[in-house]
Amino acid sequence: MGDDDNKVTSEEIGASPAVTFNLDDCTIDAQERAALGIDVAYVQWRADFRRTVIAANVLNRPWRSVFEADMMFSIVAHRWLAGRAITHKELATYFEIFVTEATVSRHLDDMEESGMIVRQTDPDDRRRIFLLPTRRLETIGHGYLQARIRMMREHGFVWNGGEAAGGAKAIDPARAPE
Amino acid sequence: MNAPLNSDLDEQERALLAMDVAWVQWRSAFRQKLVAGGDRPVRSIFEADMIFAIVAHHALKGRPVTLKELATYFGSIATEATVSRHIDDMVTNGLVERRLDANDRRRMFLIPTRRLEGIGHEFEQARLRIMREHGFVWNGGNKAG
Repeated sequence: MGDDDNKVTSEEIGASPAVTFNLDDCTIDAQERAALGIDVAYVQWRADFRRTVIAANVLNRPWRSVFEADMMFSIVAHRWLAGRAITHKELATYFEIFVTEATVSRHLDDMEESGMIVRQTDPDDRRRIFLLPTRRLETIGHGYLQARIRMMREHGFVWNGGEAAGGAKAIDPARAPE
Repeated sequence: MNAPLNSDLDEQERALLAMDVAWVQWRSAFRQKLVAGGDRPVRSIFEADMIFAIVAHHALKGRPVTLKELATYFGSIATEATVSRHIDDMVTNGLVERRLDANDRRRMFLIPTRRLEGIGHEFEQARLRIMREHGFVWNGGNKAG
């Protein structure tokens, strides 16, 4: 976590009262409110987009936990773009705090059945399964990412071309979790 | 598996993907912290995050969202029963309060608590930082549409 996060400890959260309060007393600032605005716009867009994907008939059953699935797609795509396709096991590690490995597998079944990803066994180690994005995922990905970029912009978050100090490269998000 | 890449995803789209990866990692650590603090583990956490955002956004606009309105947002994503179960968890964890509309007892308002505000700060600050680190910089809302 960066030093500039407004850090709250578990104890402070536990001690913070579960009571409602007046709007005038609320300390959520303009930038935080803008981030909330992105989410609200995003859920509306995402619900529409889901209908588009369903109408495309790529999966003949409802998609489970779309927001979770979206994050899985992002990680699969990011790692592949970084030149190191992610394995099934590595992806499950990212989500181990959220869901079981079986749930990750079921997501991957849906993704494969709908032609978004391909599972490929490592010829050198048959226990390793790589997750590769398809052209279909790329097409859908453009729509998805451009919509999110637009919504961020509409709420005041403007792309600076990746020039921010300590930018993405410093973080190396492609690094697999330990 | 390290073949040269052939994708026309542009730099900004790639930055957004990297942002998601960093976000999942931060969110995972944050969940561990909340559970360590005694919170009951919540189902479908990314869905729950969106519910919190909608509840908070409406309250901040001066008119809390109702359960029915909230469910409408999730029309094609989750059933009203699922949204309602999310709210049960949030009430149990002291993050949201249900309040019947005094004028119309079929309407149930969802009100954020102080506790949600405290958690919300850390959550939003982490998101803002991760966005900034990936090149998405706040302009003070000058060009907000």
